[in-house]
Amino acid sequence: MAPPLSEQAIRFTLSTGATDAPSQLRRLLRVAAPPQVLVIDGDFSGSFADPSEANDLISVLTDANLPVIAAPSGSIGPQGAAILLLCDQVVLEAGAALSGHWRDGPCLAALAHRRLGPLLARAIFFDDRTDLLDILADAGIAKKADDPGGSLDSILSRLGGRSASMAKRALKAAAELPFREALNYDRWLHGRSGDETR
Amino acid sequence: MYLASLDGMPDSFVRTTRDGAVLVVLIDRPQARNALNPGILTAIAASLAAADENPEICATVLTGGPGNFSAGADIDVLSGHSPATYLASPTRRAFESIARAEKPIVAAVAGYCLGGGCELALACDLVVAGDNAVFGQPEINLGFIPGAGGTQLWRPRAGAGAQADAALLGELIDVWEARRIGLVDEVVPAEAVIDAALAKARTIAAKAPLASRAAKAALKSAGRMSMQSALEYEVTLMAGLLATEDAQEGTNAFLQKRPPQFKGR
Repeated sequence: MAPPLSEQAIRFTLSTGATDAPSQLRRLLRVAAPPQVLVIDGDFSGSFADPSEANDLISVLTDANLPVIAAPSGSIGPQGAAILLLCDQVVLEAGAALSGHWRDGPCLAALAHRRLGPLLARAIFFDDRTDLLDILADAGIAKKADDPGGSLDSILSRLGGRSASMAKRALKAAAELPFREALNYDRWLHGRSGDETR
Repeated sequence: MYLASLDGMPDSFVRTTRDGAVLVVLIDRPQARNALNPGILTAIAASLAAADENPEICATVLTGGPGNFSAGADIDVLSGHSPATYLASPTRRAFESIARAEKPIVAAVAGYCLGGGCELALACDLVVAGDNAVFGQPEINLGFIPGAGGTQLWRPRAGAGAQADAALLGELIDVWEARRIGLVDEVVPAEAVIDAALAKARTIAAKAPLASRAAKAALKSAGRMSMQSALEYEVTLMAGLLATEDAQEGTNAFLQKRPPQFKGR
């Protein structure tokens, strides 16, 4: 039984063989609101049932306006790797490792390219010595912790405010919009008009 | 906030307010996700027609608020039509009236913007969208097709492929894809969509009113006549504006390095 999280956290526990994770997550996120944070924990070793499930999961997590934290247990398979590449923060328990076939999942190349850039994406796909978890840790996205529960609490206390949710939305806009429009989006988000004449 | 001071009949589902020279028209039927019925469309058309006649109004913001723009037409209204009654229906006449509006309209779109709602938004001159907006023409899934521009209005903004996707597949696209393909002109946080559209409308309203109207007429001519005719029409409109007081004032203000004071004459 996983320990309870703070009130601002919404927990979703992955389990092997469950194929309706995207729809369950969508339902959870529909009623969630800032300053809440989504925590995905549980068994990350599974594969996608089919490519459309991968698309659904990616769509749900890409659309999430809340910070998303992954806290996997055990080995990490294709589905878990996709989630790691979509999350804002990752808490890794000591000894966490990717399973041998993690690269076999759908959509992982595109996700790795989007999150890590073309060079690192090639490195992790074409060189077995390059470890995705190390890259995420080096980038500050993942934290390898002897006390995952404590690390999770620490991250939750940092990300539980309204500013983290706003940052999440602004980052998404920055990825999708031309630069000046993204700046304007951010100004509106912070309650300031983009129109200097007002 | 502009929604607090809107006027309108309690049961009309359309309310209006003024912000200087900008008219704000709000579709206000949140319990039905702003589904459009003949009364709503007729009221919008009447508001826009009145704005065209009012020299104090220079631009309009059309919105459904920060929740949903419009999830489409009331299905029961559509299903109650025969071929003959639809062609003569208030719904169809209202859409035509909206498309004929002469002053610039900025759509402020959030949430669902589907079917007739999408056609309504695309009939506007500029579309400002909230980051929760979703667009689509799902009519094909109901066994018919869009009937108020949904097979035509995507093309000039987003191209033939996007138009065919929308009309033939009936799938929905999120606001980011809508921005990428050019269906919308700006994306802002949903809670700021009315303010952002209003800022744009205010900027338009500060221009010479006759020139804004002429620019809209020239822009609309693109779909109504050949390129050669549209270019000739543009020249005619331009020549007509040269004789106006506003054109003189604009030129003088530029030379004198001061803001122009346009009068709409």
